[in-house]
Amino acid sequence: MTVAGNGSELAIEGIVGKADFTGRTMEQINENKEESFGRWAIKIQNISKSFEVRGKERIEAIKDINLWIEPGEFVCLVGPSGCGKSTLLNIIAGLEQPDSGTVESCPVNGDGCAPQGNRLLIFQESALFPWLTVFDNVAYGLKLRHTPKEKCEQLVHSYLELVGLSHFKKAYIHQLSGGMKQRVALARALVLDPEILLMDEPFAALDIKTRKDMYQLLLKIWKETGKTILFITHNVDEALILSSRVVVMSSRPGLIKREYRMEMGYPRMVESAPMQKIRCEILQAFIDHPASEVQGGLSDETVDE
Amino acid sequence: MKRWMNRIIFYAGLLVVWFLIGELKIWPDYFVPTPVGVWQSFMDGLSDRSFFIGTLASLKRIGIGYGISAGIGVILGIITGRNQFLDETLGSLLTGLQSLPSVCWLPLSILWFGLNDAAIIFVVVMGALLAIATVTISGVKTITPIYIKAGKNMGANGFKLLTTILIPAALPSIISGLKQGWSFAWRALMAGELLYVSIGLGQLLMLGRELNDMNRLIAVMLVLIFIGLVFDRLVFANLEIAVRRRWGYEH
Repeated sequence: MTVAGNGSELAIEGIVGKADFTGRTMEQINENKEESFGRWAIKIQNISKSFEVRGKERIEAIKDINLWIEPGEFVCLVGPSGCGKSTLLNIIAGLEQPDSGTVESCPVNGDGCAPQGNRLLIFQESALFPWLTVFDNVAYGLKLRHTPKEKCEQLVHSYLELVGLSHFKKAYIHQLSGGMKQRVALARALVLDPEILLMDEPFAALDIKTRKDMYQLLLKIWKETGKTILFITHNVDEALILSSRVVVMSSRPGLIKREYRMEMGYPRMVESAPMQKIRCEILQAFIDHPASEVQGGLSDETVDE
Repeated sequence: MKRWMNRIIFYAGLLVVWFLIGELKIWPDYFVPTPVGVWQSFMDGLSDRSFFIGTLASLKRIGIGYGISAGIGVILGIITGRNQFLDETLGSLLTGLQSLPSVCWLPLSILWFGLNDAAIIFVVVMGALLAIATVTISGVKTITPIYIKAGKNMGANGFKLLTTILIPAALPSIISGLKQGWSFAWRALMAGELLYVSIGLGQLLMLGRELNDMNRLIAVMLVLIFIGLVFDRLVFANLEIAVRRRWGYEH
């Protein structure tokens, strides 16, 4: 495994680079899309999806979402609760069909077109199988792909080691703590070498200490494997600490409002001046939008860090 | 340990009271059995091998009947639980039929199959199948959706999804369905064997009645209790505990 970041996007730890203070609106993003995104891992174009509510009213969950993600990018999608973030993630993962629009992926691994098994989800609550041991959970996807037994064992070991759980391979899921479960979930997804890792508020249920450990682990894994990550959160600070690009969504209908390139290095301090500025802008963007739509998504953002 | 001591004292006391009532000789022995008489009948049953033959014949019937019900019931339950149309139609029929005591199928069964083993096996199947299917249906319907989502996301579909996600995820309910199904099958079998006489434990019971042999009758009942306990307590209870432990419901 080597560091496969993409140039300036992946700043070296400790060195604070410059942040894109202003942020860009959708118009600006679309204008120079072609030039700034020469390579892409996932291309999301004009995705819209609406749901029927009680058989009458249709509610637009997400509307005309355009998002190009470069290989090796760590994109955080921030938005208030109920803005359709999870719907978008499910569509990318191929678990739901959009009303219109397409999700394309660069055929890096040869069969890059099939979303199933290539775009892997990590959920907020543990989706690990309680009837399997830690080892068998991580080996699950490999067995579906008929990976030879020896290779499978070797891969599972190396990824359990990566997440620091090699001593727990024989444990059952209920014997693990919340943070350990998410570590296993990470290993279970990474072992399949997905083209993109889709993370749906994966650390929302963890306590602050565990969450900080998970940030470190995730950044370490990102740097070591160079995986493309699309991370969803309603926690602005989380997005600022982790990502190389923050994409801000509004709700009802869920659409992309702004995006910020985060060119500063790691580890980051939310208290630093440039971070505070972006933070204020993002929170402002939530509030600017019809205030009633921000369903308590803001309340825990100020206390967390 | 204390629990076991209490139990031993209780059963020993019961035996003594029973023995004393027998010794008083207030009622004739075809009316009130005695411990010694029951013991002798029990040993007779073992030595003339009638208990073995009867038990074997009954276990063979329930084995076939229960095997059919378990196979069809689990498959039917999974398919019905996963399909909304089948659940609303077939599911309601299965629940409705379950309110019918299984021995009520015997007259129909005799008309269909004649006076033979097949008729009793059919009653056993009807007794167990409905219970197994309905419990499996509710088990499949309550599978945490995120397991299915995660499985599909990693590439499990169709048959693989069934064997690696649906069945293991519903296993705790499937096993309690199988346990319930067993006790229904056991009751259906006895009801069937009592009403229609051929070799079996039910027939041994009726034989006791016809010969006014209360001691033998009680001895057969003890055999029935023994078999029931073996399956219920040893086989199914342990299976259930093992699964619940693994899933983390129990420690």
